[in-house]
Parts: sequence; structure tokens; C-alpha cells
Amino acid sequence: MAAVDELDSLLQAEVVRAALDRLSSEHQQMLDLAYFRGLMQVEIAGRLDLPLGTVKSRTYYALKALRLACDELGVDQ
Amino acid sequence: MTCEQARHHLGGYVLGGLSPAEQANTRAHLQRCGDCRNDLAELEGLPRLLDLVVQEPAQPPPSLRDRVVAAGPHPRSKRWLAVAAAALGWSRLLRG
Repeated sequence: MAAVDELDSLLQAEVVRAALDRLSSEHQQMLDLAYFRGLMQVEIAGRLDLPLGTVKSRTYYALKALRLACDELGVDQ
Repeated sequence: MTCEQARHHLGGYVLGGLSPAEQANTRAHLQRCGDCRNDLAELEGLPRLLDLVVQEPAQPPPSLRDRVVAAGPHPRSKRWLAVAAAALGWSRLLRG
């Protein structure tokens, strides 16, 4: 990878970390389970003892919040 | 599936956490609903951004600075990149 592209990725990763920091703890938890740990929605419902519908809507709103935070911090895609 | 139901499936759809049946129902709704496709378009780039957080170390490797300086001005450099570097206190990295 060219140095400038590599720097671009590093900075973008930092900005995304900053965006994640802006989310509520509920939304951070949902992205941690659904993305970073790769759990299915139904597995998350079982683990958190929540209705499946709650897990689905919370995952959706967590991503919406992340999109907004990324936009506010100037991630350009 | 209504739009409201479809939208509440988009998080799991984008992150790959739905059952095969839910995935198929959501896809079928998206094929006939432009509004929900627009909502999907907002979210579908996020996994790639989250991948960066997993892959990238929190600090740039020391050798990167030298290679950035050696590369000189780059036509694909973006202004936001300099702004982000400054905001993160990495201004010395870019100034050399």
C-alpha cells in the first residue's frame, strides 16, 4: 500500500474510533456483539435477555447513530 | 414485510446477523422499495469503516512517517486528511 493510502486508512480508523466513542453505551454494546463478535441477532437476544425485535431495532439505530457521527466527523464515505 | 419492519431488519442485514428467512424477506422488500434502499445505502458502507478499526493499530508505525515524507505531495491527498491529522495531534507526521 502506498504511504499516503496507508496514512489515509490509519486516520480514517482513528476517526471511526472517535465516532464509536460518541455512541451511547447501548449502541456501542450492540455493535460490539453484532459486528466485532459476529453474533447473530437471535444470539444477542438470548445473551442480553431482550426480545428479538428490540435487538433488531437497536442494531438498526446503532448503525444510524454511527453513520451520523461519521458524517459529523467528516468521514467522506 | 412493511417498511417499518424492513428498516428494523437493516442493521442485521448490513452486519450479517439475520436468519436466512429474515435475510430473504428483507432482500425481497428492498427489491420493491426505493425508500428502504435509500436507507440501506446510508448504512451499507459502515462495515468497511468498522473493518478499519479492527485492522489498524492505534498508532502509526514509525516507518510510515518517513515514507509519507518521502512520497511528497500526493494528488489523491484529501484536505480532510490534513484536518483529521491535525485534530488527532499528528500534525508533525504530515509536516515532516
